[in-house]
Amino acid sequence: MNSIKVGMADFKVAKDNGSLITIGLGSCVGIALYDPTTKIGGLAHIMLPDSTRYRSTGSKINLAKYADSSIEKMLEKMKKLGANTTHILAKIAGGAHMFKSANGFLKIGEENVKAVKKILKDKKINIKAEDTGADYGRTVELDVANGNYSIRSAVHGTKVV
Amino acid sequence: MAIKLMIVDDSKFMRTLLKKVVVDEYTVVCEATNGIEAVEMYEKYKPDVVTMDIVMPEMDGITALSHIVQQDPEAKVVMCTSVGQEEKIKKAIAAGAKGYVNKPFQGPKVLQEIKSVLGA
Amino acid sequence: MEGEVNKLIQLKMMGDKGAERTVESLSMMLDMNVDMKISSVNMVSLFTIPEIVGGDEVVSLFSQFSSTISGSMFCLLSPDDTKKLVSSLLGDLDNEGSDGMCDEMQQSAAEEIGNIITSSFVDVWADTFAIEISHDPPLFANDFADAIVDNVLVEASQSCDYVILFNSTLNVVNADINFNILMLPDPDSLQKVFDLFENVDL
Repeated sequence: MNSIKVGMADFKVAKDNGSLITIGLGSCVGIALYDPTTKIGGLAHIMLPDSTRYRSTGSKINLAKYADSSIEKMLEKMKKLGANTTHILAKIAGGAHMFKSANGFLKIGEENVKAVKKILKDKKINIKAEDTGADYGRTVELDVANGNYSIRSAVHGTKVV
Repeated sequence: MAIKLMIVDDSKFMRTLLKKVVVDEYTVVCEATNGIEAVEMYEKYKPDVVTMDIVMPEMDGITALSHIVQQDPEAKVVMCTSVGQEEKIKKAIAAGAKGYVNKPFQGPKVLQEIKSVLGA
Repeated sequence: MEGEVNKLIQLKMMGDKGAERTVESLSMMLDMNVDMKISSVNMVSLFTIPEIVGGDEVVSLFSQFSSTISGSMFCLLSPDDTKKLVSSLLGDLDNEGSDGMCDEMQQSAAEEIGNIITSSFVDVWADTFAIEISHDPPLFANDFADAIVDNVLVEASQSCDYVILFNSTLNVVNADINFNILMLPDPDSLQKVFDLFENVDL
């Protein structure tokens, strides 16, 4: 199967076949969006919840870093490929805190999950499956041929949702 | 009369190691896992000597040391810590530490330092 | 151009010094020969660090340090190497029947190794610049290396995309145990570091 890698603060879209993979989801969230009617899928690896709150002071903002702007841009790309937004469903994973006695910024995972859920709800995109929070890392793969989202963790092995 | 010792370290491993080192010479009357507990237990148990870590959650060892010395200016505290930087050593001595041992340490070195602090 | 090269050379020297001090402390703590295999410093894209550490399952001791300069330190080693090290440290204190890293005493011993490593590295910086640097007690995690660093990198990602990464590999000779030590100064500390270099003769 042809696998396309999605890095940190990145998203990719694909159609019909192959898979989209992103590794090492700690507090980041892997957002898979899939339109089963056109077999168009997208996978985003977001780091922060909100581009307006956490905007970089640098001259160029990396839109794929933030849940809001990343989902927005990914949907645009999926639409360009022919996806029908009313059919799109979501599957999400990640947003953990990797250290049990974490506080402060190390708990950003919870904020990320909350933000992703709110954004998807506002866009009327149904979250069909999720494996979020807790204290373990995940690596995910979206199969674009059928929308299967496999989630691998060190503690729970692999599950397909 | 047995000499009472308080061990302050957030690491269970280190506290166990220190207990092994001192067991033949001193009576460990209490163990504190952070600076706040250290100050409370010092007041309660009034140990003759204290081994004090610096890097701890809630309250670090140098802050705890200052509180203890404020309570008891004669307090005999030996810093027993991974931190070996000059500025920290100076700070600890200025706050009232009577001795300083660096981790990783050899058992005899700790005993020697405690002995010399008690003898002073 | 010369100024930039000079800065990199100074950073490299600091990285080497930190690694050397860590080698000494670890040798003493473990009562074994420890060698420094690699010591490097590079400016890297933050987003490539998960790939640099890889996706294997590791034990990670993570600590943040702060004062005039602040940053993060990771010590990464395989779960098997951690068990070997911890067993040799604990000696008769070790609970032989325990499985995995769940045992409180084993985790505590691993955390103390992380504490000593962080102190060694940070003390060198503190003493070189005659400043005080504090660090937090290490946090323990046992999971994919890339997921662990992901959690930590998010904070730095707010303000920059590129970071200076110090990367050392230490090896416990004859025991075939490898430590990977990563140090990332916070981006806003870097300028302070360069200012401090002006006043010292490395």
